[in-house]
Amino acid sequence: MGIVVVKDLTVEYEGVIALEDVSLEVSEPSFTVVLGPNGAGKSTLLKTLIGFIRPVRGIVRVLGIDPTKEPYRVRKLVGYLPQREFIERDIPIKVRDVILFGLLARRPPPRVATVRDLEKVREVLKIVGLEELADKRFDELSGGQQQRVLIARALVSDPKLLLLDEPLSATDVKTQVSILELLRELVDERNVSVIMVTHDVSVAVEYSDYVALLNRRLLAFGKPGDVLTPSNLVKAYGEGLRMFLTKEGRVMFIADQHICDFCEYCRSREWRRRRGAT
Amino acid sequence: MTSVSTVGQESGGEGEVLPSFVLYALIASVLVSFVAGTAGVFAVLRGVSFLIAGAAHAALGGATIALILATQTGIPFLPPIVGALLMALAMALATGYAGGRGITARMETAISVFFALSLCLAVAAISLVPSELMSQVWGFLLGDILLLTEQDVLILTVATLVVISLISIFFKEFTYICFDMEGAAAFGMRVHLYNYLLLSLIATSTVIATKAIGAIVVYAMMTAPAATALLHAKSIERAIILATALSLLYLCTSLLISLTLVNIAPGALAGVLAAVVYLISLTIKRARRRIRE
Repeated sequence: MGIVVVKDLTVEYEGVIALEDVSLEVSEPSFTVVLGPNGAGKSTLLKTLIGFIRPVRGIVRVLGIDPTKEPYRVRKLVGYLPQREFIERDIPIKVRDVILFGLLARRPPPRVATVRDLEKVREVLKIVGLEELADKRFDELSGGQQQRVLIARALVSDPKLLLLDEPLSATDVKTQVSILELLRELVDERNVSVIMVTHDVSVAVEYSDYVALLNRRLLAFGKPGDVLTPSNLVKAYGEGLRMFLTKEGRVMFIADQHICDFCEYCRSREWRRRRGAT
Repeated sequence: MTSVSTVGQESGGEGEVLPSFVLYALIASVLVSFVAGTAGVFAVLRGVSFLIAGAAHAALGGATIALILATQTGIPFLPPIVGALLMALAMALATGYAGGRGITARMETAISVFFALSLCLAVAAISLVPSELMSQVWGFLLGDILLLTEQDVLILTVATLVVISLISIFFKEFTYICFDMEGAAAFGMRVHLYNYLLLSLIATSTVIATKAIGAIVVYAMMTAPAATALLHAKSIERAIILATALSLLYLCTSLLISLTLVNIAPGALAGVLAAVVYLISLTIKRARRRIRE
């Protein structure tokens, strides 16, 4: 049995069908990227796995546990990184305390940190390459460093499964690559399974074992080369998909629906559009 | 408003200790500073500063309704402060319910609706309040730290101790839900419970401070020192200490000015000081950042 098993999953979110008849099984350890346009139900899938949303029908098992019946049991065993917009980044809190959050929030009050906890914090900071920043304020770090700290927070409780919701958003290509290399290392060397949501067909797929292409329904699931075919991409993103060459020489796919103010691709694409290039 | 001449007469005797109203005002200043420092910082961090304004005006509605119930329907014992507290807590719970998993915009909408409802109830009810009791209603709106009674100070002390104790006990939980409510829920924390508790403590603190300094000034006193402290402090603990110290400084300075220099409401003066210092701090901080860049 896979670390995550989903069968015929249908989820309604605030009266709208967000996922319909989705079935997939993720083996252990592996790196799965969940791709799809905005509103495809990717975050809904993660939230269902962690027991935030109850499905209308279907079967969900995470580490063999049913999150609809035992959500708190699943949550104590899984590392989770929410979307950037849900995290208040201006709070004066130290990096060490952000990571301790991942340990202490799983315990009952009074949630006192032990010497072992502090050692564990140092250990995960070393894994994400930020050992020297333990005493820094979280809001003084760069966007990429903040994402690494949040991944460390998800890792600190030694989970077998990491669920990451858009961990690459608002980061440049160099930072994306460093985060993806870190995640790949976690899968290969520490046997942690990763399910990562991202909204555009990006560099992430190069590091993944499996890709789930979602647009309310599961359009394809399997090895990246088998899933990312032109016909599947058109089904997910529509006809407006473009190829784009990054500064590093990688070939990227950019969907027309994807517009943000942060990423290098969008800024470049906008620049191209303004120049009248196709 | 207590006049300067009265104060001079009461405190003018040789070897005389502080007059009781000055002593009560000083004790209340310390108590208000503590709640403004703790609950104020968490209100700013949680993004619900507007709850302070809302709860203060809900207190006005609650106090008015309590007075009417006591005088018109013969309900034997519902002091205005209890009515104020109940209405403010109802607003806090409605805010938490509307916010769901912590969506600030929805919480602000709930606060706005409750703010309006409470004020409308207060305005509608005020016409039914006997004229001899109107001073109690306006006491909640305007407040006066120099008019507190021994019973008021006792209620303020007990309520402050409860608020400070609960915020100290659940400091980590409140920090976590302010920083990342969804993450805290994903790690198995009962976030809704702590969210309701935090909002209730902010509302209770507001009612405590409103009793002493009035519904209008309380907003400035609970948000401005906290926001000023958060501009400079390197941790939440330090922000709380700094916000408490600033609140105490503003209240004591304004009390001193009110008692010795100008016959002016000390709460209002403290509110003005708090707002001015915040604006100066913000300007300095931004100027420093521009210079660094």
